[in-house]
Amino acid sequence: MVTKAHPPVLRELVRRLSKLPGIGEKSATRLAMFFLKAPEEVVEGLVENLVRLKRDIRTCPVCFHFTDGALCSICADPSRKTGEICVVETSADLLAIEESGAFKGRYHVLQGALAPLDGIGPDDLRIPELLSRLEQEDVREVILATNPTGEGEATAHYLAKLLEKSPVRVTRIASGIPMGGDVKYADKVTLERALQGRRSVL
Amino acid sequence: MTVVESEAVVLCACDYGESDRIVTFFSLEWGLVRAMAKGARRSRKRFVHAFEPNSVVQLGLGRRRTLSWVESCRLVEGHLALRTDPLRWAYAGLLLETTLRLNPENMPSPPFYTLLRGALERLGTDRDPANVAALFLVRALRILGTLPSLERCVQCGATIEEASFWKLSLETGRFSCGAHGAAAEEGIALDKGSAALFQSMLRAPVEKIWRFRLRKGVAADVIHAVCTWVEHHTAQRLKSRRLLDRMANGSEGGTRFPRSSALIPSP
Ligand SMILES: [Zn+2]
Ligand SMILES: [Zn+2]
Repeated sequence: MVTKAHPPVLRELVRRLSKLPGIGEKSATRLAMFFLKAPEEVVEGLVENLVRLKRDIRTCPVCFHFTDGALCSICADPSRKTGEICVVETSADLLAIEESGAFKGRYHVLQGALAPLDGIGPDDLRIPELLSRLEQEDVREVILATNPTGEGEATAHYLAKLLEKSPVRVTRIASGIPMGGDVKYADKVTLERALQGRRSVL
Repeated sequence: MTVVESEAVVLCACDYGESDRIVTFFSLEWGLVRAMAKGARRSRKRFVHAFEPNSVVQLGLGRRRTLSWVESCRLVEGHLALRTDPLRWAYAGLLLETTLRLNPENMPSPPFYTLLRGALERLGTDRDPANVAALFLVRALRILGTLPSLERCVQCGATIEEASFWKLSLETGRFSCGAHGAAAEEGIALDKGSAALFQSMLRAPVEKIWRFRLRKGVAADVIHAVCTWVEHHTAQRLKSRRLLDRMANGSEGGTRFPRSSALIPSP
């Protein structure tokens, strides 16, 4: 607990840190104490990094992933022009797919998903920009890789319907029993989806 | 500490602190209830799929004084059909949000629970989701005690049989015949048939109302009027209305590819 016994600067820092996502007052206090004891260059490096982050990082004007250049590294790489666009909700999702190495095409980051109770509709997502890309780039397939949550599924179906009459192939990533998982511990929704998405083995 | 159980519908969930979520349910036993789900973001296994809005769950709550936390939460029905149709999904959002806005916390209402559960079920299958939403909203107002009686004209006492046109004003709480519902007055205009239909619907048991069919256009008028009233009454905008308006105005299905803004950097 932060008390009057803490100097104001420290109290202020704890207050700011505890506003960060996933950080409560306990962790904030621990971090503040770490900075207090840390060598000067550690703290200065962090501060400089934060300033550069805000100054240099923006979103790629084509796919809306983060970049510090005119285009992100993926949009700038001609070898990624495979005619496939993988649509994800956030840059974090993009990074996870990149890390897997399973996809060689380009991405489109929607910057969210349809969320009625948060008032987020299609106009708040990067959907018009996706449609423009389909017009301007040579796209064969759009892979809908939004999350298998209510919001992600609704967003995927909205896009699928929107692209119904366009010549591009629209696919949805599979969902079901995770690798290394156990059928008997899977929940009802997952099992239902897994069965719907079954395919021939041979 | 005691652990109590109830069936419940998940209304919404938001992150809290480092690893927890606060989930809002409408439950059969306790009505609207907010509870802390400890570690919900850390261990995905413990509460997998359990906190998705629209889901029906079997909920176990630990309670101590005014605090509630989720001990167990097992999925009963995920209402997957709603996710596959953005319009139905937007209507479901409206149902959840009005439930959230209109019910006080910890005030049990089994009829409201039956209504909400039935509406979500029906929304996934009914050919006309607007009809389901309109029936839900009107019956919800009746259960909450804010809908005037639709039996007679508040001024002259005429029965529905005795007048061709009717006016229902939520703002003034008046239900009046065509002669007494002043033309300028805000309210929902109903023909005799629609007024009679609402009357029968309000008399029917909650679980049997879904067979009633409103005339074309009436459902949209009712939804608009009730939403406006809810916003006025709670001094808060219904956020789900935005998505709903967008979906209902036929943006879906069109494959117009706008020739714009592809290369305009985002702010
Ligand atoms: Zn890019
Ligand atoms: Zn009258």
